[in-house]
Amino acid sequence: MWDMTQDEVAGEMPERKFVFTGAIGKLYPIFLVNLLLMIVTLGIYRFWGKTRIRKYLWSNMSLADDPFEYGGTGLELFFGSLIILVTVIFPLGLLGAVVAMLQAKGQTSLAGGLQAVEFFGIYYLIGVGTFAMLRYRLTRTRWRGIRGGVEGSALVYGFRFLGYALLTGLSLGIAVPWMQIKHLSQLYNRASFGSERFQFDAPVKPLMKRWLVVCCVSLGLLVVMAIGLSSVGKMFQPTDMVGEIMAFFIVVPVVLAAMFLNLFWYQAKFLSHVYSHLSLGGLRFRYSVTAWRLFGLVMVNLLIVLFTLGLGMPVVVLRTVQFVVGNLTVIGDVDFAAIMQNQQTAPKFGEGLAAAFDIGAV
Amino acid sequence: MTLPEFAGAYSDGQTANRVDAALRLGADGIEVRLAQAGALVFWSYAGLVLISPPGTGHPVLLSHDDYDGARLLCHDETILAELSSRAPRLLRGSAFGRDTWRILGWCLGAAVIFSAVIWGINRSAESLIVRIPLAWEKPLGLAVIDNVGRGASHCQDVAGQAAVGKLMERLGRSGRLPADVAVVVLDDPRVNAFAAPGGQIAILRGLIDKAGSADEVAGILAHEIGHVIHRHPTQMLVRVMGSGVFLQMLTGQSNLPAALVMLSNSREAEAEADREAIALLRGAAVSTGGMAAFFDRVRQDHGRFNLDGTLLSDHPGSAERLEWFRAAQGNAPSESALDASEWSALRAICQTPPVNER
Repeated sequence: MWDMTQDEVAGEMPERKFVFTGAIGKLYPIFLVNLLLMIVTLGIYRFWGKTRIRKYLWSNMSLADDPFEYGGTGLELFFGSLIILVTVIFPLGLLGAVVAMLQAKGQTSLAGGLQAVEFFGIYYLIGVGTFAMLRYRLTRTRWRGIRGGVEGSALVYGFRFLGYALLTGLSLGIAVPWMQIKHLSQLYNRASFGSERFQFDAPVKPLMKRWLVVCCVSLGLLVVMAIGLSSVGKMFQPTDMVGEIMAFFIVVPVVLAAMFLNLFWYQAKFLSHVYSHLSLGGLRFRYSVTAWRLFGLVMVNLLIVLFTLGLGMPVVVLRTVQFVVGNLTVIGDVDFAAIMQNQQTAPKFGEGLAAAFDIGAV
Repeated sequence: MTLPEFAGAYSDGQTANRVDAALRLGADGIEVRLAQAGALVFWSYAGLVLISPPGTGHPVLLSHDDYDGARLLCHDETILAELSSRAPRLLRGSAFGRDTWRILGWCLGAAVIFSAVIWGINRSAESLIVRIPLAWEKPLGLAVIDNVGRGASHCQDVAGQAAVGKLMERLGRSGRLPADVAVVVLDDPRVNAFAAPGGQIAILRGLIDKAGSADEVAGILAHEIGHVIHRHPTQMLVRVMGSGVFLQMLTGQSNLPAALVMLSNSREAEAEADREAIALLRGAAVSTGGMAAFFDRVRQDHGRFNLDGTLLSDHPGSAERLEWFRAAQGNAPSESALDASEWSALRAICQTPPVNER
């Protein structure tokens, strides 16, 4: 059970929030030192740097007064990357060279076939990498000394990931929400905290409606952009270049902003939908996120990265973590004494694929 | 004497339960008395590990080597001062200390090893590639020409091609010309020329338009032949695919180190090709002043036309090379690379419409 320090209103589910105590004054020096050491070591230090940042973020996060801990090491990430370099990146490079040779020899159909294999192979590996990354991070995360885990095979998940994506491609993108839910349910239903499995069973229908509206609005906005471009242009002299350029710089940003907002409208619904259908024993989650707030978070983050040339990255990380913590609520109760330690074998190394294909954020 | 005591919490590492506990700092370890059931757990100082980083605002989180997964939590930070006098190893390595220096040492060592590997790839590429027959690389070279030339058609005018043949014959007099060199003129307005793998040399029409005399074209051609003799194009490909991928993987997304390697390689290669060009031109009794004149022209026009691609952007400073080529001529006798009619045929090489077959 939770500690009995909370204000529990009789008959109502207890609610809790994650507490995050990270501060930019503490994170930025870590980031700067990492940056310098990375330059000195031709980038090799980045695995250890990443680990320092994660240790800081994890240890500043707590739930019910108990801090999280990150137990991964830089060496594990380094070996993870080295293994992927040898087993995946070099073979992919060789495949690319073979394709170029075949094209040069005029064997275009064989070259095309190999290129397709390469394309789907990379997509498959992105699936494998996502699964392996989740497993690495969960097995390295502890709370009250209990670690997480993911059961099943990353290699098998890769095929499922690819399969759902192919079917969605056949639907011309209409099935995107279905694919997203399928992907997540394959991941989350295998994930656990200690001996307790997460449960994820979200209906696709509510997302589907929102997605179809978003698709229609996007198409409508494209039409508006086309009309807007020609009519704003005509408000000036018909053959005036300045007018057309003005039209371009007024209409395009406005329509693009509307399109982004439209997409965030879906994304907000998606996120709150996903979290409200995730549970761990008796614990449920509520992620109260609106399109506007999400739009604000992402846009300001983008601007920070752009205008600081990446030096504002720690600010972006903190903003994002604070956003999630501020909007995420844990509802209900669970018998923690009944959750046993996780017994699955943890992977020795990690995240090589995720790093190679740029999947993980932190 | 009373032993210092702190209020804390204990999780046993078997379940996610947490119980309040009193932590008493004894002579050899922490005596943990659990609130529920009154059980006692003993954590020796020798196996104690500090998990939370020391600093204000953090509860102190401890683990122990003998109890896998078990945790002690204490909100009173003064426990750290008490512990550090009893367990001196506890605070070591958690701050920016010995561990970081050790890791840094390993990283630097690894950086040195990787640099050596890349150097090795480059060296072995140089010595290996020179042994491979040029003809093997020909399909690759044709593909590169198609790619860089964006599929521009090959100029087919017979008299123009004869003029190119004459230039090649002249440059061959030095006896340094490899057997499988082939030159095409591409109908492309960019001022450029490049050597591709397999002895394939492409001159873009824009360069011939820009040149003031046949000697200038002969100079450029000699420079590209220099690249062919040293097999630079294939070495470049091997470097990009070998060390480039390697570096990119190690440094994350940044292409900067790879670009630096490329640049230093190519500057060295350009100087090598220039030296070869001077030898070829001397053997052909063509003035190296043509090459100097071309650089002069390019230098004056710098920025007025597109300098992308291989001929000029990576090259050592034009002024420097201009002086070099000018000085190389000295008082050596020379005659024009082509006569007037051959020169005008070369300039018109792209004016005959291409035959509808590649």
